Amino acid sequence: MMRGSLALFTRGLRVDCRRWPMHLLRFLLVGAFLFFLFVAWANSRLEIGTAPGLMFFSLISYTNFVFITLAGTSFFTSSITEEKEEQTLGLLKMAGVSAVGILLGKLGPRLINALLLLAIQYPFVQLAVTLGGILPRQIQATYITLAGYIVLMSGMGLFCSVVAARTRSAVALMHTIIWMPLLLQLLLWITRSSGGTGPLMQAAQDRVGWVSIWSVVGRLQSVMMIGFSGGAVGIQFYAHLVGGAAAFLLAWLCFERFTRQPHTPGPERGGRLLRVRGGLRLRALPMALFVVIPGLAIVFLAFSWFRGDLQNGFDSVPHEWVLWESIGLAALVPLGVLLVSVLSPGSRRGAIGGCWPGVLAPAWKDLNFVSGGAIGLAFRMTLYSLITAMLVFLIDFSGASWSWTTLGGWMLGIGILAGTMELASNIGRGFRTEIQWQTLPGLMLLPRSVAALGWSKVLGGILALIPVGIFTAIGASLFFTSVWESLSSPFDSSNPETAVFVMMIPLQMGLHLILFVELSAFFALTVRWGYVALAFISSFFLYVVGSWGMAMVMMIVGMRTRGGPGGALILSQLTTIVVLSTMIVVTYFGIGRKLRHLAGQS
Amino acid sequence: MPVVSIEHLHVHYGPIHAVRGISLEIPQGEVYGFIGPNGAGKSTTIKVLATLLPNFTGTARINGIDVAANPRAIREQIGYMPDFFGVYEDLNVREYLHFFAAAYRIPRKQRKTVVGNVLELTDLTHKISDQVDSLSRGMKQRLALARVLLHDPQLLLLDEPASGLDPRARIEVRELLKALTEMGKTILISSHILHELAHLCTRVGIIEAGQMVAQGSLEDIYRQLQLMRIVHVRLVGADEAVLEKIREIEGVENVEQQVDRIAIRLRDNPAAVETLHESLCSLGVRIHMFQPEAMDMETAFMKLTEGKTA
Repeated sequence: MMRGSLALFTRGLRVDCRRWPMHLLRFLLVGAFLFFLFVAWANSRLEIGTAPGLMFFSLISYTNFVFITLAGTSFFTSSITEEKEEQTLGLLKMAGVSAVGILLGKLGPRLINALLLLAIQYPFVQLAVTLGGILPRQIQATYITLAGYIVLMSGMGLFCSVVAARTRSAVALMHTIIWMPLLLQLLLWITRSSGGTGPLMQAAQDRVGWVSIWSVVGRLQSVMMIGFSGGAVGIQFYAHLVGGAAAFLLAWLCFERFTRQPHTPGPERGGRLLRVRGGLRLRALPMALFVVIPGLAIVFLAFSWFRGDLQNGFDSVPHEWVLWESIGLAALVPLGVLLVSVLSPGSRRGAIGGCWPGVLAPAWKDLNFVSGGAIGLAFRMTLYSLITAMLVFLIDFSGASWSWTTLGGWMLGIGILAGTMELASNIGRGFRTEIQWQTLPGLMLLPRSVAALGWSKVLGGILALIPVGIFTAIGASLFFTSVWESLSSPFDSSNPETAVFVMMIPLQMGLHLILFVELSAFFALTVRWGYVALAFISSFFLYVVGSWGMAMVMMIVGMRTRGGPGGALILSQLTTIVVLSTMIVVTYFGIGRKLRHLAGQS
Repeated sequence: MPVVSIEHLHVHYGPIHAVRGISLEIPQGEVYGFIGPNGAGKSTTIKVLATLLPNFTGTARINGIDVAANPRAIREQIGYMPDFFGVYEDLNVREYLHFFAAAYRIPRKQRKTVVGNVLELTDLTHKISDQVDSLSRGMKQRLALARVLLHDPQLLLLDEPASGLDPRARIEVRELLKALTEMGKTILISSHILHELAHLCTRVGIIEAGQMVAQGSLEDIYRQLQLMRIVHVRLVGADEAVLEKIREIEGVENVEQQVDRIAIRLRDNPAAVETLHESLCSLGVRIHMFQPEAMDMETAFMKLTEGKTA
């Protein structure tokens, strides 16, 4: 067992050494730390805050937390699935390497790499002590907390990798495992706040808290507090260590069961879900919505009128109605789609011929076969309806005064975030599947430019955003008044610099989101897994350096030259916009170049 | 005007000089076989013509249009089938072909007919509703060929179309290519299955280490190889004196005594084999066996190439 395990271990370390994304990640991490040092120094120069060491160390700790979470959902989840996808797992088994040998040999190098990345920081972050505001004990406690967290994520990632057939499914499963305790914590909090107290409830909340990733944030918060007097090793560390070991054990027990069948090299095959997904045409969804939405609207208006709720205007409608309407929409959309598919033969596949012509054809294909088609859109409509219902419930539950603006604000924020992630994922998958299916040369041979092909992929990704687009648009329209007020108030002020500065913020945010989506597409063409995570880290780094860094530099320069930060802030924003725009243009041409290169190489 | 015209083509992959000054011309309606060992530069040359490799030196033209200068116009006129199955396995056969038909801007009203025609040609009509991932390797290859034919290209670039197929599927592909030839398509085909090319091709080009070793019709190539023609003979009671006399016969390059036979290597002379036979008879030796080495594509390939890669 040990020989096979060691062979895999050595190979894993070698492969990781050769993978340039690993070096890019390390480079970005080091770059971020240097930048945080600069921020701490700049803060002390500008006399903002009193504990630059604490600030420096907090930034590093939370960045580590984000890195580990992203690594857990990409780096660890591919440990076994990559062997499945390359069809080499059977060869390893035939070579006599046992299940535990394979698991240790595959997970070991990744775990060691992650822990080493943490360990190597340790001597350097002692600098925070000299900057002031932090004690060596707090640094020890933080790094022990993060080490425990790495072990938990690696164990869970390994388990997902064993159970799932493909890396993509493993990532989805890992996200579910991460989010489930958080949702459970939320539900327990709601139940407890509703009066559902008792020893059992308290015990349940504590147990869930141990395995939840929120426990890391909680632990880091308590460690970072001034006057921290707890032990270096907290219960979170033990809980995560046990959790990681349990996940490893579970992965071992499941290994044979889930690796018995050989896997094919292409993306995920058939299955009933795929057949159902491919069995409906897009027209089924608008047909269903054509029945469901007016129906719900009639019910909503009729009952409101009947109860006299509408007499004092739209604002007087009880928010419970929004809750029930959202739940109704969530339930009726899938039912409507199924009903339409049964009643209307034209909504089912078989008589296909409606592929959009020319440059739109790849968009049609991606919308139907990468983003899930009618079923995928219906599923997302249900999801966003449920999110709306949950928001209404939580606003009411938290005791905040109900208003359409509050709901709109949340919907807008969640919509922008989810929409960006969805778009990045859709476009990335659109490109990735072409590589996995080896169909890129076929597409590149179509009589049109590479740019047109890229844009048709973008269009396919954007069309899949219809549910989140509707969700965001409703949020924006509800929030519009307050947004307009907050935007227009700076224009009324006597300081035009503030108005220009405020105008630049949404532009900068928009550019940053575009860069993130572009980087996802670029990394999808470059790495096999974790392209969204890599794009997130890269764009976050660029954003932080581009905005904060420039702001700091310009503020220092501005204060020295003009005696005030106003003009310098605008200059810093302008510099950030120029930097982001340049990056967007460079990445755009990089994607085209990469596509041509891959088509020629395949 | 030739359909394909390549002059002094050079392609580099980093430090590797993959194609070194290849020149060839393919007239309308010709089936040109591209033969060479793995890594010889066949696929690279085909990819240049398919507009997939923009970085090359030299000139490559299709119907007089420069490949580097106007790739989009070229793509309208070519159908390229790579040496791997690039098919969307989530789609069924109908959706797959309709997708590419739409992408090639075939009007919606004509798509059904066009798809029906290519399915009939590739004998896949009965598989129209099957998922692509359920097709056998040979059927996937035929589906890929059907996709290539959708926009009715004048030139077909087929890179190893029969590789990895079982004998039945290979024969089916060969028959399909014959049908395409009869339809007047110009075809550039690369293959390792040499005797199949011998049946199909009007001309062949043998390439090794990025250089064209020989090209022309099969007869031309065999003629070129006369230079190294070997005749195996077995003589009754042949001793060293007889061997010396044979070496003195006009046209004989050298004579090698083997375990059970004598291998006589002849110089370039079309009538050398017949002359050798007469000369041996005139020497008064009794001939037990007289066997000129059979010249076929595999022999030619082996003689012309040394297994080098670029």
